[in-house]
Amino acid sequence: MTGLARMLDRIAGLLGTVSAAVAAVILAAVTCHILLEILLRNLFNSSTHAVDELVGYGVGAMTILAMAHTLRRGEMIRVHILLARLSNTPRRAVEVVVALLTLIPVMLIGRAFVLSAARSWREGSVSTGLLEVPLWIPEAIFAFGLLLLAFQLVTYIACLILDASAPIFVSDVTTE
Amino acid sequence: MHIRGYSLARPVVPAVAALALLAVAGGSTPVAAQSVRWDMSMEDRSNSLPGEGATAFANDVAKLSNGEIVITVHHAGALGFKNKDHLNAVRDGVLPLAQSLAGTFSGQEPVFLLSSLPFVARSLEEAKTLYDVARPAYEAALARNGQVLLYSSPFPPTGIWAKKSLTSAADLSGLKIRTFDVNGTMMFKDLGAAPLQVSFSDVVPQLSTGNLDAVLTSADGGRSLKFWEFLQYFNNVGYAFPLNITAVGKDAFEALTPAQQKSVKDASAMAEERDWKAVTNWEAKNFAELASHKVEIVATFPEDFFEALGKAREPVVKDWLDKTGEMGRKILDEFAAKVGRQ
Repeated sequence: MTGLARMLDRIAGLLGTVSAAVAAVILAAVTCHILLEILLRNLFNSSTHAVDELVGYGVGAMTILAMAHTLRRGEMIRVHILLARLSNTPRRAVEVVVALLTLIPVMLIGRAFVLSAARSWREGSVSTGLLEVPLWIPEAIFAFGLLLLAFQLVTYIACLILDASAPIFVSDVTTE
Repeated sequence: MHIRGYSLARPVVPAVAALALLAVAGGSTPVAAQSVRWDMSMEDRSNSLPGEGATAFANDVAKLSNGEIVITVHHAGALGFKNKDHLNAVRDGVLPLAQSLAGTFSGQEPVFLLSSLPFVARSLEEAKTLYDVARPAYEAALARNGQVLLYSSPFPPTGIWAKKSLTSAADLSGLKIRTFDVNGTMMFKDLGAAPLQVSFSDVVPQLSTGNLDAVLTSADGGRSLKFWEFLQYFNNVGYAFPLNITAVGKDAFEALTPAQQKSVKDASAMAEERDWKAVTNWEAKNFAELASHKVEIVATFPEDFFEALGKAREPVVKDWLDKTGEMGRKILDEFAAKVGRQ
């Protein structure tokens, strides 16, 4: 069972890292698009006519895609007033309960995006912007990011329960 | 002192909320058990033309149904839904009914783009004719999404705010004009202007920094942001006559008794008539205020200017026809027959 937990953990870690890397690429692309738009507007009296739309999708996608990795690195914002005072075993128990509670809204929102993406795909809904982006694309990205976060939470719970040596997710920052 | 004032003010908020809840709970007890309570979502503010219309509509529904149907209108997007969310929210039964800017549904149902197609209707009367012709198509599109059309509310006509009166296509050349949708952007690009899609709240900062020198919006929109500090001409070219559409979920509507359904339908007919009348008065009030700020309202244009604009709208109209096919062609033909021109 410990072996299973460790394997799940490795898969979650790999997927999380890849998806965070994609988020970083999106961040760079969005920044370049904004710079290009500034240049076009101010020097060439022109525009890409798509900056609001693409930057909107980009900000949403990069936030959600980076979530699983952020959680893993312990860099989600958390209140440590109680957690910091617990010794190892009760702290692990609290972590399991908290992760389970987090899993509920993440699954619900993820499910909503899966259903919405499926509907947009079926009905061919597009955005009302110049590019007429098929809506299932951004929705599927959001759904993937949320399901990955859910998978990371499940893996975390499994590791804490099955593997006594599994670490608690805390950030490297030592200021707290 | 101000710090103390702040800390004192904070606990008041939950207290007021609690009181309001008590008041609501207390007020609801005498209402009969079979009464229907509907929450209606809309993005426009309560003091806007469609906002005031919706409040009056809710009052009419209550009156005609003898208080059996209570509609609470949530203006200004207070429920957290945007115009474009309404189609799915009502369809999924999350909301019983909603009022929405028709064009925002066009990604799912292209027919709703009709009301914001440039230079199809030239006056409010023609806009009403266009709506009447298109109504069956709107109803069919809403039915595909499990909804029943209740009524439409027009916005004041869209025109061009600029630093001078526009009399020819040459006046548009290089003009840095703000547009609000793809149609406008495509069309003004074809006319040789430099269109920029800018959200309404960003318009004034962009005007003051010289990034824009004209704005595509209604006289009403310009009045609300005091455009006269930058732009002294409203060119009332009748660019488009956007519509709000109020629709109710089929399930919610069919759960009503036949008498209740009739009261909702009757109130809808009244609301439609009232809003289409109100827009004329509203526009007259706007023009009076613009005149008091020395804004010139340009109302007549040379026919060859209209011809140039008409030519520039062709790709946009063709694009719409490609998406709507036979049905779109039929609407435009019937409209052309009624107003006597293409």
